[in-house]
Amino acid sequence: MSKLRLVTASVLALAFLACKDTLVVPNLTDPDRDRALSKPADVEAFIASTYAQVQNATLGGSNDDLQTQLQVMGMENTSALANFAMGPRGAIPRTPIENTRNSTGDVGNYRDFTVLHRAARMAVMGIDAINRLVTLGSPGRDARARSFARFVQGASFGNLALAYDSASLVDENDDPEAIVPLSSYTDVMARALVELDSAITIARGDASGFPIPNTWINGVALDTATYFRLIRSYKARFRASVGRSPAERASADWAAIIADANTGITADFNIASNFATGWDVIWPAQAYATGSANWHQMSQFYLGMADSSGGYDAWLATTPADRAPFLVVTRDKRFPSGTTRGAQNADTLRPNYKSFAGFPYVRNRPPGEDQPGQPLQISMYDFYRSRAFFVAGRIGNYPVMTRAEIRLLAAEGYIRTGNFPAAMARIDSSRVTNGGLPSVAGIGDTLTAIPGGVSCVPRVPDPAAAAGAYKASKCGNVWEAMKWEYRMETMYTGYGMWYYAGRGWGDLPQGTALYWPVPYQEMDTRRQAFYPAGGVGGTGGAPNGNYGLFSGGVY
Amino acid sequence: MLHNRRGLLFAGAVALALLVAGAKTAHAQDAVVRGTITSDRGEPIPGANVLIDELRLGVVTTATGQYTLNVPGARVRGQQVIVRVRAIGFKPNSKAITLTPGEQSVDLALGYDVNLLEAIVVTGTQEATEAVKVPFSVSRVDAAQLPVPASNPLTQLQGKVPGANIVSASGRPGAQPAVLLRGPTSINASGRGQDPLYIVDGVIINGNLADLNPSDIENVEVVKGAAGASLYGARAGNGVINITTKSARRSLEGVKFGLRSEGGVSDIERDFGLARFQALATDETGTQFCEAVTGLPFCARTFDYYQEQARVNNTPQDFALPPKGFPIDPGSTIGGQPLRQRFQVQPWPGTSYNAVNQMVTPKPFLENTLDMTGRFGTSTRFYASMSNRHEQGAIRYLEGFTRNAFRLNVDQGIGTDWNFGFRTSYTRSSQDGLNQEEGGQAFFRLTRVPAIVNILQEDTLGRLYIRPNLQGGGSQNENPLSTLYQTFREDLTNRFIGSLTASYNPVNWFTMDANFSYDLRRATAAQINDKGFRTTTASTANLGSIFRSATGNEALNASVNATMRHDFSSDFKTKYQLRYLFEQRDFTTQSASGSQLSVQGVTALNNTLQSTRATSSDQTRIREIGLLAGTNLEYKGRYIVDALVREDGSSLFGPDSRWATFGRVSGAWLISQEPWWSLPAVTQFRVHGSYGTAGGSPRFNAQYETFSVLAGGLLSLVTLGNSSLKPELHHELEFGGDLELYNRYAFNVTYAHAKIDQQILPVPVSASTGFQQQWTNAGQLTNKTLEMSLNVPVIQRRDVQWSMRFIYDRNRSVVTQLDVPPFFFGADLQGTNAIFQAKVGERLGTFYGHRFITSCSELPAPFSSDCGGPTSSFQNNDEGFLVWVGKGHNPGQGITDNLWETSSTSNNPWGISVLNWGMPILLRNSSGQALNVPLGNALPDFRFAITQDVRYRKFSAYALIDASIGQKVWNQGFHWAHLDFLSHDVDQAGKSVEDAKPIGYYWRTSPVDGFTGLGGFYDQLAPNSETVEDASYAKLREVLVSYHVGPIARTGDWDISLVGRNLFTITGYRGFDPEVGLSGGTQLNGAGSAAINAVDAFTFPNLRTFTIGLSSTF
Repeated sequence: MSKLRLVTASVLALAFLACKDTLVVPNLTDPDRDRALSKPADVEAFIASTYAQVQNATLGGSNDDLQTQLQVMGMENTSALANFAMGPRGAIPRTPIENTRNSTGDVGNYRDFTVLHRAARMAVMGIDAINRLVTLGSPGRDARARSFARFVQGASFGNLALAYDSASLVDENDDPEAIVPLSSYTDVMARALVELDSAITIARGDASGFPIPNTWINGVALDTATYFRLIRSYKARFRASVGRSPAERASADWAAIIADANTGITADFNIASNFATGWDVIWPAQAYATGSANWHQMSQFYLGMADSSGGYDAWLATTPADRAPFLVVTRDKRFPSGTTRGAQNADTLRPNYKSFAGFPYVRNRPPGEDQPGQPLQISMYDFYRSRAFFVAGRIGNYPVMTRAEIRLLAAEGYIRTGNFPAAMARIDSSRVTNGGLPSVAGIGDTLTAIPGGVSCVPRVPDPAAAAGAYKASKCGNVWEAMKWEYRMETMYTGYGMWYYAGRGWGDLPQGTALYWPVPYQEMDTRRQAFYPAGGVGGTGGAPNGNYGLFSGGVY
Repeated sequence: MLHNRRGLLFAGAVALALLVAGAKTAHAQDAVVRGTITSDRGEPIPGANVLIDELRLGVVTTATGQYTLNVPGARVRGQQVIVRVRAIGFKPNSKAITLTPGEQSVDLALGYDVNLLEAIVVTGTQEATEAVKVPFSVSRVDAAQLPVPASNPLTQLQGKVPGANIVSASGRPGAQPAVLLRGPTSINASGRGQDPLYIVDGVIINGNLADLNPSDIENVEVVKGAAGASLYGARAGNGVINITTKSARRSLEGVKFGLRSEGGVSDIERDFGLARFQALATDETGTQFCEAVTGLPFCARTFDYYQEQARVNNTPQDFALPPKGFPIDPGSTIGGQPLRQRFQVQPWPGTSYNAVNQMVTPKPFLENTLDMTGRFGTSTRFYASMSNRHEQGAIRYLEGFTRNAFRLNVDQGIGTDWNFGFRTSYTRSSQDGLNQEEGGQAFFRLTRVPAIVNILQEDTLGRLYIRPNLQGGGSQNENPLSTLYQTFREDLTNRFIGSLTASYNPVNWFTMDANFSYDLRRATAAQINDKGFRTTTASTANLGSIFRSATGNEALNASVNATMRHDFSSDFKTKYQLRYLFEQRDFTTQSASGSQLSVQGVTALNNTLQSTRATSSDQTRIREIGLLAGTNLEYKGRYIVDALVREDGSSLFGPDSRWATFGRVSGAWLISQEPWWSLPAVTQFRVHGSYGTAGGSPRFNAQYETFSVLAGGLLSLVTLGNSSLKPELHHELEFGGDLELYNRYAFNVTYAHAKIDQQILPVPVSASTGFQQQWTNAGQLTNKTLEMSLNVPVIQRRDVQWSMRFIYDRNRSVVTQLDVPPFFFGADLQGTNAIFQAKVGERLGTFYGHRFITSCSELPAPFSSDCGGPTSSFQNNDEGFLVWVGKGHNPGQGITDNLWETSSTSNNPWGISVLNWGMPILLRNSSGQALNVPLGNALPDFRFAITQDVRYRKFSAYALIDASIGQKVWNQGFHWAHLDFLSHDVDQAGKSVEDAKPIGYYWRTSPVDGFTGLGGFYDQLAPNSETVEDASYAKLREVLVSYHVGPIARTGDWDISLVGRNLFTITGYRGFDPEVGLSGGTQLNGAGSAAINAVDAFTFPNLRTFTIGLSSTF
């Protein structure tokens, strides 16, 4: 009997032990922290994944992000479709970002916030892993990885500060599962600049690991020189663009911006996009997905500024609801030439016109492809520099930061600081070379009209027009010339190019939200009340724009 | 050696002779009990079990109801024994006899068991028990109640089990319906579903039930909630459906064959109403269409639609040419005044077609089943079957579903103590058409076909027109049939299910049984678009693409069960049970795809361009252990108490919450068996109550911290792990009663109140963690369910029988606790991911969306006071919508007074900038934003079914009407068709001048919301009050009319029958079929069941089938 008891007890004990092991089943499909960050090479690969997150947050991965909203809010793009909140965000008059549950654009509002935070969190997780492992194999590799992680951390914070009014400053010393308090966008931007500087400092400390492999930023192998130029370009972009108002933009450290821009990128910064390898610029794919002018329209309001035929004035003078797209007859080579639509259709078809290297930048589309829309927002032109990229299935180089952007930030800085010759040289760099427009060299103030007479480019709505405020146009000044170049050369390239610049220049339509509130989904996790932004008369809404984009002005 | 064998043979022969001789000697001392078992109407009952429990002897009655029980003389001692008789559908009967040598006759008559309370149930109970003694609700459906086999066993339960909401959301042949027992139990069932636990012959099923041949089913038992399902522990919260396949338990010696053959056609009952008229600009003849030409006056050039169709399509290339543009194109290029000015009243020139009728074409339905039932000796019984079912469906170019199924069930007794049961089945099935559903090509494009389009038109090369619709819209204007005839898609499944059960019963008071079961499902899918694939415009798709996948589901479970019985007295009987159960389920999947084929006709993946190739795979394993102890107490045969506790460990739970405890306490009181019961009319009355708990397990990866491996090997953070993740905990309290009057009329009622705590939800985590979400236990759902059934044998005569059965159920499922902020959820398809809201107090499944106002009270002050009167600014139009007409006008004056082109641009409600005349108005908040408000619920208010069963001599007729009342469906397909003015309600032909509406009335909302419309019903692609519509229905679900022919040429026993399935639907719903929904999907915030995701979006409509059947036994 005692033997029986012993056997029974043994069997039971074994059974319970077996139970314990039996019920532990690993997840063989999805990695976790322990497996992904246990070996030096894996930690390095993890850090190498982080810039892709920044790219994904801003330009890749999903149209349900801020980029589609940024473009319509800045009037860089327009669409009357509901998809990805393009129609509602582009509505005239502007409506607020409600930021309530299931409200318009809520998925996109949240996506960039989370993915940019993820990029920063992954970067500091990588640094924490290096600290834990002590080394990745050599001081040079350690420095390269640490520097890159700081760069990504800085780029993430910078983009968060551009878009949102608050964000969390995550670092390797906090509890990674705790909720990090929110900091204001100015603090976030300040920290972004610190991290970007830190990236340079670390790399300077030991550059033996460089260049950065071309898989870290797809297709781009960065030695320290090009790496530092990229970082300084980011700093210039962030410093200039973070301001929510003309006053804030004006108060930026323009000397620093000039310095960074002058040591910034010397050529367009392209990423080799291929969504099959995780590097994506998705927007152009959707822009042409259902016909030229469905997801993608270009605003006659801005394109009209190039017109010398009088069409723009007539258009401005027309009752807003009755405005129809008109032919932009211009000397600006970035448009097709011709005085009839047929002629412009034909001139569109120049060699390489579908690429970033070719002309014109916009095509005059075949008339059968026109689509209806809000009169302020439609035209007969399409941005076509990305067409070859689209046809290639979103595979190929795509400029996520143009040389022109950084150069024109310096130009703006020089105008603001009174160094007009330096500014004019930078404006002419594209104005004359790409646009074929008369040089602005020699202009030494912001009052003088740009050359070109009746064919001047750009023309801008005139608040003192004889036909009535904003019912006709006038030649712009160098300030307008700088902005025109910025818009022509950066459109559909980086992240919210026209929007961020437009809010700092005071050009956005009345009521356009000047920032995104912290998404309600995040506020829910914090058990804090959520809040809206923008709308005519609402908190965070743009005041009346410079160009008359307000009720009683242009519309 | 040879010598030895011969010696053995000799010895054996001698022994056998001695035995036979001994037997003959003993025969003189045997007792023989003979008799006839009949119904109380005098009909013989074949297949009844006649038992003497004391001697563990039993036989089955013959076709004439006769039986013979031989009791060896050695066991005959003049003792008192009880002869008991049981038969399906009858109440048992018994008679005490004194067992003496020689023959004696015992005839017994059995009364009909209209309430099925005497049937033996095995589901949820600790051992097989008479239903009357089961203290919780178990619904049992016998094969006799399943006279119309469906392709899926669950489908044929529709309308037969109160509390079981079974929705055939897709009519795709072979599709499995969605099942909710007593309503939804999870707010979020993404990746795990809301379906109950399915068990077939003891095998806990891991996958689809379409692989099971319904003709093999002997009975189905349904336990609908935790009050009864605690026995099954952590997977049983959604209830249990336990299917038992046929055996030869009541078979006589020998072999009996059954043959059944059914053939007919399937089609689709209803249309969804494409527009018949158009609003394009034409010349004065109405036959030539205006062409958009820049620089020329409007309609300066015209074209013939048919000639343009031919020009566009009749090209040797793999894509169509760009069509000429229409200056006013309802397909895309429309805006401004035409929306106010054009009325869709013009007939199309030439012949009009109905694309639905062209796409739907009756197709064959065939099923053949051969089965074999037999017994060899007293110990070996078997049931075997083979069947072939081929349902082609009703969609042109699709082949539908084919299933070949084989089954062998064997029961083997060894001695008096051991019994073994083997259950095996193998099925091979194929299915096509998967890629056409839920946003796939065919049914989506079907919503965009103008009546002028003949989708069967071929070009000069014999190919279907690829772009017969000339209007704007790109690939969505592709011929809806194009992919059906171009794409090869086949899903092939091989399935083996087997179980072995051994039962050891050495003494009356102890039984030990063990079960091992195995379920293996291997499925492959192939989808091939060959090189030369035609599209509307040139693209790389013309070069073809290949997709292949392979999935494997493998499950094994093993259990050991010990049952002990002890009678403390003849009045007080007790049972005790201990059980150990182990389960393991594995799932693997691999898929690969590539495009741009090098060579036409070669379907290997290496025929694709390398840079386009992509692969993915997944592998999961789940292990669970269950330990159970239970007891059942019975006092005086009328007081029953049952209790059990089960401890479950699961690899799905977080490591800190690895084990969970479930249990049940229940009781029944057979009141009518009380000595004081004095109502002879009430022949049976019992009440029962049960409280139990069961679990709902998380999806596989919920507990883990997970990163994702993105394309290119890049990593990203996804889910923050939760080491404390627990199963959902279902508490259910159930009360019920069964009433039988005059041994005939039976009424059952059950009320269940369930609380499902620890709801498993994917909760967003702070972005600062870097992760996207964490699965956590964070809420409670409360279900209240009322179920009733009534059986009425209206006429019960020998020649004429007519019985009716009614069932009714009502369920309310409400979110009663939410530890996270409210959130929206839904399904996967575009526009559906935020259609429901979870918040405390909200009934689950409540649609949220925009509402077009119908009442003056919905207008803000002071506008509400200028509303409703004959001269008010706001009045209800003929459709009931409140519209702005301006003071002094009425909604009928739009055309006569040219008011449609007017609008109010100042001083409008909610401060909005423009109100267009006569257009529907969205309800808004004070800042002018359109509100998301409740629009009704996707789940029915109540359901009922009526079954009629009539027999007159050799004729019999059976019909089942199944109704679901009060549920809403978002008719997304109909909604979508508004965007192109292709839904029939845009047609204005036949309407009066007062009632006709311009096309803008049906189009997008207005610039107020950022759109270019005037405020119409399309609004935007999200639910609104016009397109979330009542989908109440009553369906003539099953009809069977048969005639018993008898033997033909002295062979067999033949029946001929006419069978109908889904023959007729009574509904006001405007789509194909109100019984519709989107599958569970994979989205994180998903309801997880097509029975909740009531969205009608481009899904295979349910099939209507009419067949002739022939059956016989040999």
